[in-house]
Amino acid sequence: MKKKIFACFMVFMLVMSMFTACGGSSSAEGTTEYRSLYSADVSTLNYLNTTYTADMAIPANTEEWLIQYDSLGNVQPALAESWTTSEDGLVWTFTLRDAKWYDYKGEEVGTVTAQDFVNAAEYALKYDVSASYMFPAAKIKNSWVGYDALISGEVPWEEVGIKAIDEKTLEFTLEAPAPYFLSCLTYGCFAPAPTGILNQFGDWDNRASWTVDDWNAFSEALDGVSYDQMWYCGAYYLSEYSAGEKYVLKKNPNYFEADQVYIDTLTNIYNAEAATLSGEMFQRGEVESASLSSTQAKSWSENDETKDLYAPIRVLPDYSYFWCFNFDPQFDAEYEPDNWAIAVNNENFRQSIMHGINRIGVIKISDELNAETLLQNTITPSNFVAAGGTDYVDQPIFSELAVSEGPDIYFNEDLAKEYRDKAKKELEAAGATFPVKILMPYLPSSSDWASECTYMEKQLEELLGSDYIDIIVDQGPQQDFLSSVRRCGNYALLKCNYGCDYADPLTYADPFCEGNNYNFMDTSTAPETKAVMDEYYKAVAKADAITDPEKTAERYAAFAEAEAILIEHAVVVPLGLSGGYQATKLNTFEGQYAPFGVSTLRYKGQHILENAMNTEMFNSELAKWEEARANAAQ
Amino acid sequence: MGSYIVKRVLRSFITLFLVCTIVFCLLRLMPVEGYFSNFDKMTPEQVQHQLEIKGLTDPLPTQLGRFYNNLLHGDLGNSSRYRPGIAITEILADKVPISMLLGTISLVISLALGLPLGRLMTRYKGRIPDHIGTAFIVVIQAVPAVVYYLFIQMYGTSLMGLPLLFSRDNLATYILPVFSLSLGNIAYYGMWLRRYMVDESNKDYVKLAVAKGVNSKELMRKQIFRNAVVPLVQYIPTSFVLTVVGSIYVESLYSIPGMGGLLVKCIQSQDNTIVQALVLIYSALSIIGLILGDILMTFVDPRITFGKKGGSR
Amino acid sequence: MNKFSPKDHLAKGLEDSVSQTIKETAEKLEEAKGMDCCSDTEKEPKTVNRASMNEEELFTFAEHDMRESERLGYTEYSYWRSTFRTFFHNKMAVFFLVLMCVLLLFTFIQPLLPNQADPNQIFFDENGMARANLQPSSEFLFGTNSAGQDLWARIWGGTRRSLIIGICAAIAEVIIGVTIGLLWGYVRKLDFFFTELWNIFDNVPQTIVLVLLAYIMKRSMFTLIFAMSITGWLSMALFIRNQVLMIRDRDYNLASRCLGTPIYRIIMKNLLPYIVSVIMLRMALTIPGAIGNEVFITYIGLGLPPSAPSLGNLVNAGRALMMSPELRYQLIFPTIVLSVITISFYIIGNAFSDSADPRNHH
Repeated sequence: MKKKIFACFMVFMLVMSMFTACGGSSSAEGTTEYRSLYSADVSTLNYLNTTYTADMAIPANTEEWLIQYDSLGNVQPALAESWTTSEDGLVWTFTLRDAKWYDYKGEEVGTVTAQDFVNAAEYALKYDVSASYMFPAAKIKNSWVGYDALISGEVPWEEVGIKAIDEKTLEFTLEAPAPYFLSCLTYGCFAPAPTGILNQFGDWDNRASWTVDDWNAFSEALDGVSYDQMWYCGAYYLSEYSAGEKYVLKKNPNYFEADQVYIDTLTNIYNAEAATLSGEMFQRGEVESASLSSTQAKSWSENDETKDLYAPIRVLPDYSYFWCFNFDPQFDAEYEPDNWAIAVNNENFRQSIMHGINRIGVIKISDELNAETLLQNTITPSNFVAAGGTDYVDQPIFSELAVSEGPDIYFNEDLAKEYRDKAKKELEAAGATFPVKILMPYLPSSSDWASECTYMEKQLEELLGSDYIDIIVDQGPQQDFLSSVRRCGNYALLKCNYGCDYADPLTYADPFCEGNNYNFMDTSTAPETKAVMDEYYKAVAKADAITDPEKTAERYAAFAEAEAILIEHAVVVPLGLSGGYQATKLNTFEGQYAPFGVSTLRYKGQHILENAMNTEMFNSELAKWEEARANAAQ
Repeated sequence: MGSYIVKRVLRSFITLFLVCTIVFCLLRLMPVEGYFSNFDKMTPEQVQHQLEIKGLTDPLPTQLGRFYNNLLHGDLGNSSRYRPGIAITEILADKVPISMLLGTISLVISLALGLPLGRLMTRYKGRIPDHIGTAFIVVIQAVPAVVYYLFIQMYGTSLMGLPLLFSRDNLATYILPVFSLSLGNIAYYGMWLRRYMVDESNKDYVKLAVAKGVNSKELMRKQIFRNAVVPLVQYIPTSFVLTVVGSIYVESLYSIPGMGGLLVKCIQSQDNTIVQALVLIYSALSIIGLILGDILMTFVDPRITFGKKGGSR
Repeated sequence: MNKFSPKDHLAKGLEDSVSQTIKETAEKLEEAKGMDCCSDTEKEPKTVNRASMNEEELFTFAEHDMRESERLGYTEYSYWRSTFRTFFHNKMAVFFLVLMCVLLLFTFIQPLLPNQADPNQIFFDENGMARANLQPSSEFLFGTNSAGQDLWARIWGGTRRSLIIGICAAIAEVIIGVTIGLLWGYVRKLDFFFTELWNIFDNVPQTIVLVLLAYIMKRSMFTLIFAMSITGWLSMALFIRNQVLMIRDRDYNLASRCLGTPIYRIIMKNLLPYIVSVIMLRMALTIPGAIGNEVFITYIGLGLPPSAPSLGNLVNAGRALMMSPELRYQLIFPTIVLSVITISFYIIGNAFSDSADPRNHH
């Protein structure tokens, strides 16, 4: 028996060693390859009908848009060679360059025409893709009428403000001037969609007679487009794609700016455990990038071998975090919504909370090393827009709000206590009971969020006294969190976020517009609050009326004024941005920069470095980039 | 036996029908938010329209009727969220072969190592090999698989100089995933064979054989082993199906594009059509596995026949 | 979905074999009476230690004592006493039993001990920074986790929670499973109905149930227990049904029926006592099964939130740090505790199944 088992074992080992002998890596010499892991699966290649970042990672590199951003965030021509605006700012005319479509082997299959862009818009609006809100956001004429009006012919397609004048001329007509119009153009549904592909999935030429069902059937077919049916007009073409396994992008040598594409092959491998494995794989040289949690980063920083292998990720002003006070409490009676309604409409009460939160401490829960960079004192984050050489957040009106020195200009314990004492008196007079119960829900899958709430509970109750407030940290539902917590007002104080859509401060005013489902501040009937809201909405309307491209600085100043109202009256408490760490051999500062659209997903313009980017190098590159950006703005 | 199997298959159809209907109804209770990636920025009208497109606003019986109608026409439908627009058959066609391949290798290895382990432990019952084997089995049972798979992957690859991830072309990368997949089954077969063989060797016919002076090796191999292995044989098809469809840990660790965890993924992305199709397929497979197991058993043990005693397992 | 884990099958298989043993127990019980010593499956055969006798003793005639010989002819056999005696002969099992009792006791009295932190308490230093990822020290015996919480407190809190989940799931399983199993097995008319019901429940993936429950209810211990027992009673019911089928038509039950004893009385007095040991054993095996199941549920993202530490979410949180050697203690400590509990339950369960077999009684 022993012998037999030994024999079995030997056979097993033999088979294993045979396997080993067959192995071997294949990498062509002289070309540059960038390998990485992705843990969010790509679901479709139909870039017109998706809003997942994971889905856009491929088209961002394989397709091209009318315009592109350079590494400093300035608009540059891409498929559009040049463009003009009418005097009133309502008509934008783009002249296309002579660009070609290529297939998955990199062979030419067609020419990019103006009709390709119109196709995309028609599909997006008539099928009503989930990102179709971008058309009304760009204020394109008649884009808001809805799919049924467009399909039924109630509003003929010709009346929608997007037209192909001839093969190389594309014209957009706007409802009202939108100075930020160009920045809307790098979204998926503004990419060209060649008639050649669309015809493969339905009788596209007869689309004028399609019903809703026809559009649905067409869209379902189009979602299933395979990589070898797809056409590419960007810096790369998708040469290999196996869903849920891997994809390979190859540089297109015929791309019109091929000289700015430095990486020949991009290989992405799907791995559901990338968060656990990619760091180890980076150390073993099996991938060129890995994202690290802040805990992992801290552990790497304490080890001599790894301390020079990682850097913070570039902080993008794409998602801004802030706390909302709920002005229309709908939560259970046990948390005393009526009492909260009295409290929240008292400005001193809100001020006492706002000036009492140690925001740096909150951010340090999730990111200890980088908290000061992430902290923002405004809802619109820094490096988002700038005019006349001044970043939006550096306008003097914001620094006037400071009540404290140091990075957190709002945290002031003495002031918070002062406000508390005032609030106590006023609230008692108004009939509120103490302690005021503050319901703070969090998403259960986010452990940092839970810790943040626990931290705030301890910190605020210690500072302001548990006889004044009683923070109730509550675990929200995992599914349907937004619908059942924020959107229906089932919270008192909640950390919210908002993602920007285009390059204008107006985008960050959206969550507070009338009829919003963030803090319901417009629904308040308290005269004190109402006055603030009226002031705010007037200020926003006034700012949005300044549309002259020459007066951008003035427009931004007006928006800053509006935003300052929210902060000054402690309606919203700004928090900051999200960060992270990564090990990478790319210099992200070489890449295209824009916090919206697809720009930061693109590899064009980036080199593979000899060694991993380390923190020191990251900081010096960041400083260089900020300097160059400031210079360019002037 | 033929008529018994026909009867059993027919009954399975009823089960399948009921399971599908129940799962179908359960899936309609899923939260609406999960169907959209940018729910936050969609208007209520848009949400409503998209739900209509997905056919989720029709009354339940209509939806159910549509589902069975398509099913009768051999159309499992297209995925709606996991891989929008792609036929489910196509998705499975990509994933099944690789899982089958790994599952088969793993089955062979588990039998090739598990059965000798069980025999070895029986032979040296109460002595060191038995204790080592028991320790191995207990450890495999007690330590969560999520943990030891990770250790195997990390140290295994660095010891053998292999890449961390699986790759179809590099046969060497098959070793660790297959080995990890087999561990549980090796322990299973080892533990059960030992127990059955120990039980068997206490039977009267064995005592008689020993008394008659039958060579103990011969007795072990020809009598005890053959009798003890019968219940294990019954389990083989089911264990194979489980390995193929259930290897979620190993497949996600090694990036194996197989079907382990597909169901979990699809439920989480609320891709109703594919969940329905998978439930149908998996239920059918598990039923087939049970029937196959019973049939296999009749081959191994001629004393077992169907017919008199009907009824499911 | 948990049915896809081979480990569960190990457990299931074990139970099957136990049922095998118990089935034989029932048959052998009568035979065992009066049998002096029967064949041994797991134990060393009884031997007389002759080496310790000196020569004189060896060659002296044994005295014939009438009383003694009478006692030999008649054994005071008590099934339960023998079962426990055999069980306590197994040193390993006793060791693990003691270990588990100590562990259980400690788990539940730990919060009452002095100087114990709250599992969710975050420790801050004087600068207001969380004292995260501190290595094990005299202050924090198991170190702190990445949120700055005391891992020692979290592990015991987690063990407590996981054990409660396991025990509650086991109890629920026993109550539902035994009730349905007895009816299923005893009432012939219900057989078809229950068989189909079983088939259906067995084929609805647990993940679907869990996702739905997570949607309907909050993620909580109760949801988990509910989800586990809603699917867990199946195997128990099937198992009891098979037992009942075997015992139902024994002569004494037939006699009871002829005498007009009501069904519930037959079930309570004739059937249940036979399977009580099996039920207890199954409970012992369900507890580690439920703990393992919770690890899986947490892995697919449906487990308890971090504010409710359990062994499942502790192991999964530790896994994320596996690649950082100095932080690996956050994975290893909860894994060890989990493994010790599981091993104890399995070994005790095994030993108990052995000692429940009268062939192993001396």
